[in-house]
Amino acid sequence: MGPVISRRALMAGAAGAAVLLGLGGGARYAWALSEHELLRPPGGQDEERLMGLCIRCDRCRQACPMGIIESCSVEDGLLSVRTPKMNFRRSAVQRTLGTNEYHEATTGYCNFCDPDQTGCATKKCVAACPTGALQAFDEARESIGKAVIDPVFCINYPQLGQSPTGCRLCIDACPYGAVIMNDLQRPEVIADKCNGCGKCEMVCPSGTYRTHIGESTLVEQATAGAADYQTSLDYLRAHGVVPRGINVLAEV
Amino acid sequence: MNTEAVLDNELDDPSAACAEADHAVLSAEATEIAADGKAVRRPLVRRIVLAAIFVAAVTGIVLGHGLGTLSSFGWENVAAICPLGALESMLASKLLIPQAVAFLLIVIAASLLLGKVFCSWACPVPPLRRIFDAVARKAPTIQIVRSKEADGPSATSLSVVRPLSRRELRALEKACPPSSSSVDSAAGASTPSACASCASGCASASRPALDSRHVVLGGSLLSAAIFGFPVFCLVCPIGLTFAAIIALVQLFGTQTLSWGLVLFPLLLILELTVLRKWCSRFCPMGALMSLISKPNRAFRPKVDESKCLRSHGVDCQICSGVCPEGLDPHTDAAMHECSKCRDCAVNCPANAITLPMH
Repeated sequence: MGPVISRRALMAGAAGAAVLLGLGGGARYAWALSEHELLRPPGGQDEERLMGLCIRCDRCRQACPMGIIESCSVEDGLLSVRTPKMNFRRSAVQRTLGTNEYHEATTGYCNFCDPDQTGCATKKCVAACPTGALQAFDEARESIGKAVIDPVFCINYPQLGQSPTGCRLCIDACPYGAVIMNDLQRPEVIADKCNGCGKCEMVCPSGTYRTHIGESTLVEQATAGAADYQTSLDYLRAHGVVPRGINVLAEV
Repeated sequence: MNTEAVLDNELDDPSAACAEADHAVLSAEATEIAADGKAVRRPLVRRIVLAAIFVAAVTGIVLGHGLGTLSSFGWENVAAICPLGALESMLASKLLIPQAVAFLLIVIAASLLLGKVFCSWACPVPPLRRIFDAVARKAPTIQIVRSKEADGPSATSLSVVRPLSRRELRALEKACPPSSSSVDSAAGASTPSACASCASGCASASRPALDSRHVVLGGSLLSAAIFGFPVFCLVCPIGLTFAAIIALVQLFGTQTLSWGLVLFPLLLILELTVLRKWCSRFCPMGALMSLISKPNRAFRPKVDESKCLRSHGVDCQICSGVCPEGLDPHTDAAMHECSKCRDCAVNCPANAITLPMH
């Protein structure tokens, strides 16, 4: 009977194990330093729990009928590679040519797998999760995140000499009446009613009207001391894309 | 014993490799290669099953019907879970997942019956390795060597040979400086005899109970427990294979351009080329499978010794040479590592090996 393990095998294995330990520590360290704030699918709001339980199997992304779950890549932090995140920028509202009629988009936001709002539908991503990283979720009481207006990009705020437009897309889109038009003719989010479904972010047309505000403008204005621009810049740094007029942010 | 094993020894103990290489050079003078280059065959049924599983997973990724990848495969809330991922995530979150525990029990029961069947019937890594080998022209071939001493009897040997890479040649050259002038020819032309020199299945002679894979398994469980997330999932070649496909699908589907598109395939290729013996040296999944397959006795290859060429005076090492686990079906040593791939049965020149359901 030989030894339980040869010395050479032990060394090779220890090298492999050391790489894994280094990788784990490195990923944790990078995560602690980064500014990432990822928006998770329903039931995945407890970030530590999701990190621990998610085996990166891709089933929630595949199961989503609205096509809003995306597989994280290296840009979202080494720790969250291949974990799911929400992306409400996937489809855009379409206007009937020559009119001001907008088509209701059928995908691109979370309807909690319950288009008729019966309140008792099974969420497909939660059902598909094999390890319970996504827990049972009640959209009436819990939220994916909260919608926040970005005054730099919202076209109802006069920026860079432009006048308010009276755009009501997010207000009309919200299925929960959580976005209202205030007395100044600007949209306002009632945080208690918002569950982060992302429909407002999906319909927001700022991407069309605010293309002239890029990273350089944001940096310039932020260094000049404009707080709004600093907020927008922070969003850009954390998400890798410029904000829209209204964005769903993860609750910290 | 194949060329890989020669290299193993060489790394272990340079002088032994020199001896083998010298032996190769010596016997090269008395050797002629009668026939060579027959490709190693893989059973058709297994190739179809492997392709079907892979295609099902890829269509799931593309069409999004939620079948999942090999990390978790199923319909709605009835799904298989990668046993290693399940263990890792339970250790990382310090939570007991009933579904994962139930599936682990199923895996253990299946391993009792079928052993390491996952490794050759579902895992996409060995086929990928073979593709990389074929691209690099390193695919193993079956070599028949007839050697004839000047006045002695002739001997025939059959073995499986993988061409040496330049890196391995350099290593061999470094280990054997005296005969360096003839190393190239030794490694190129007459390795078959070097292989044949190790006649009676030293591949499976006496294996220690544990090997480097088990240490990596320990490392992946430990790292998950310490850092609170399944660390090995980040570098798992199965995961990387599907991650690369997902990145590609997201590129065309939603125009999401990411570094993953480059990094996932790059890391995968690195793992399978630089760490050539991923499966036998590093894979913690294989280690887990081998541990729970220890009691497996069923579906083992059986050799009909009366048909076997070895009992007819031919030094045939094909069965142990084609075995992805480096086993010799003539012995029972380490036979729990058998992944029921049937390569030995399909490639046996005398059809002496059978497996149940053949």
